[in-house]
Amino acid sequence: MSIIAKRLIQAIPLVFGASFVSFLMMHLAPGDPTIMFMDPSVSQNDLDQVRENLGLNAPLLVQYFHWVSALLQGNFGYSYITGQPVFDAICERLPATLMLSVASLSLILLITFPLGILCGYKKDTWVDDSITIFSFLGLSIPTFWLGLMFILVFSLQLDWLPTSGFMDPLLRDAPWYQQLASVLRHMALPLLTITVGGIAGLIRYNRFSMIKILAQDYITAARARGLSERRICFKHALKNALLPIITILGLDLPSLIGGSFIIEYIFSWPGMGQLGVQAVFQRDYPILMATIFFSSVLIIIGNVLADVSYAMADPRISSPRKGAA
Amino acid sequence: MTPKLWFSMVFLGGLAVLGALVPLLPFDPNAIDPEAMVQPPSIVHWFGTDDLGRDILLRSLYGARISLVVGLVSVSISLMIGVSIGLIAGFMGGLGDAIIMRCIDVMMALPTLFLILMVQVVLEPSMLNVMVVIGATSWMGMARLVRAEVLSIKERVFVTACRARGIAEKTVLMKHILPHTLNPVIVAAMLGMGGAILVESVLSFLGLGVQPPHASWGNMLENSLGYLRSAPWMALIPGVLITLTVLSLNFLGDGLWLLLDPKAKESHVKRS
Repeated sequence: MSIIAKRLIQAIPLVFGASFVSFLMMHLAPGDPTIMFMDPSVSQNDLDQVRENLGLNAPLLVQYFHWVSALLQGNFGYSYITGQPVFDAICERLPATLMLSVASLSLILLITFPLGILCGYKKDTWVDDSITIFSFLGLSIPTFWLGLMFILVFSLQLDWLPTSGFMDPLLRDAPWYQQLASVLRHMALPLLTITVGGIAGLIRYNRFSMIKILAQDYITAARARGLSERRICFKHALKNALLPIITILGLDLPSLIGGSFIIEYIFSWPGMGQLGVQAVFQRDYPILMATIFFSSVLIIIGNVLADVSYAMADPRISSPRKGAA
Repeated sequence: MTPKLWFSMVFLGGLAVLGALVPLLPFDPNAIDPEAMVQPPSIVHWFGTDDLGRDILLRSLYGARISLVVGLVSVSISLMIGVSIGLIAGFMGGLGDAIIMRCIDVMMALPTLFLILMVQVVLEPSMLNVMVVIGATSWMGMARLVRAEVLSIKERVFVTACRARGIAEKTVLMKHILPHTLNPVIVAAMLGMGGAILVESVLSFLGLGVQPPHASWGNMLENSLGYLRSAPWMALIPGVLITLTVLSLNFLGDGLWLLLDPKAKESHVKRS
């Protein structure tokens, strides 16, 4: 069986597990959404009717079964607050989230690789030291606060970029290139915030991976053969140093995605994160369950992709690693 | 001892001492002073005052108490869960191990922050809940780490020797294997404490952590939102304090690792 198929099959129970946990979390909660309808004019009978209609009276496992079977048909239920189908609400938000995360991931990769490799190559010099200090700093700064500071500097003080939102509402009828420019301007600060947070962790992995590779015999052999340093660095070391990063990237996905949710909220970026945080405050369980479930699926897909690309890039791996932890 | 380690020890030590002593001072961190609202840093109020005229230095020190306690307690909780599960999974092996690891995979695929937010909004947000919830959702990395250690230690000769001498399995695990896993666990605990402090600040920032009027760095930041333009110090100071605290913990974790693990210099990779 090919690795890709194997990984995909292994991912299925994970998806079910994630769906069960997100379902369980919501239903063990003592908070009751019918509280929303608690106004004196509503009779107890009507309240019971509402509970019945929402399916809140069935046993837990039955409710879960209903939820999953509906889910498999693309029906995620309806928002308790707006009555909008959850699936539509999520799909509305998905493009903004994907846009932001794909852009930040690409930016993070573009910046970390050269810097991390430079760091590893110039081990224990001032270049290495300053990049290392920067990466420690990036790991320690609360990203939401960094976002606030960017707003303070770039929006409030310098007035260069908008503080929040997705697009200038006045541009609704403007030509597409003006709209695009507006979206990009709105995206700049959240993108910057997520990228700074994301770079920090990865640079260190890149550095260590490069240091490890450069210490290996085949690099010494290449040096002994009189190859130029540049050739050794880029042709021989780089490829092997990149390999472990793929796995690390997969492992880092949850924190990247989780972190970007708070950033979406800070900058009112209309993505899944903002939707989820609002749903938390409104106790909108169907939306919340779907947000948790969708982001778990995104993370699982990311991990599968990482494993598969690792396996394809590394000829030494013909079967999944045993006891990988 | 590197400069980084010195910096971390001095900063954290100072913060802990000041935090411990500050309740002895005759000042109330929640005292409202209508005469001194939104004042920039001055000689009287070193860090300035907030929108209610409360002294930010004083509130920051009370916030330090919260952050350090939340960090310590949640890490202890996640240590207890993570180390026991890692030990059991690694020692047991086979089917049980496989089941535990798959459950951990599921936990790791969940967006923890949302789970925590969810629990906080359902239960009354309180400091105890914050600590328990953070601890209960952050043990997975620790468990994996311990399991990996146990798997390799289990194969070492001294374990076989223990068995040959007829020592009970439980004693082998607790007395002979557990101590060998401690070094990486200590390092992971330092990094985990930094992580817990960050999560607490997010929770309090969203109003779902430590509740006002009690000062925590997170809710001081929440409070600063309306004054970002007029009183930037209100947002600046708690953020810098969080950053420096977490930075010190990360430095400490990194430095301890180099000290504790002689092999670390070769395979110097962040573990968490």
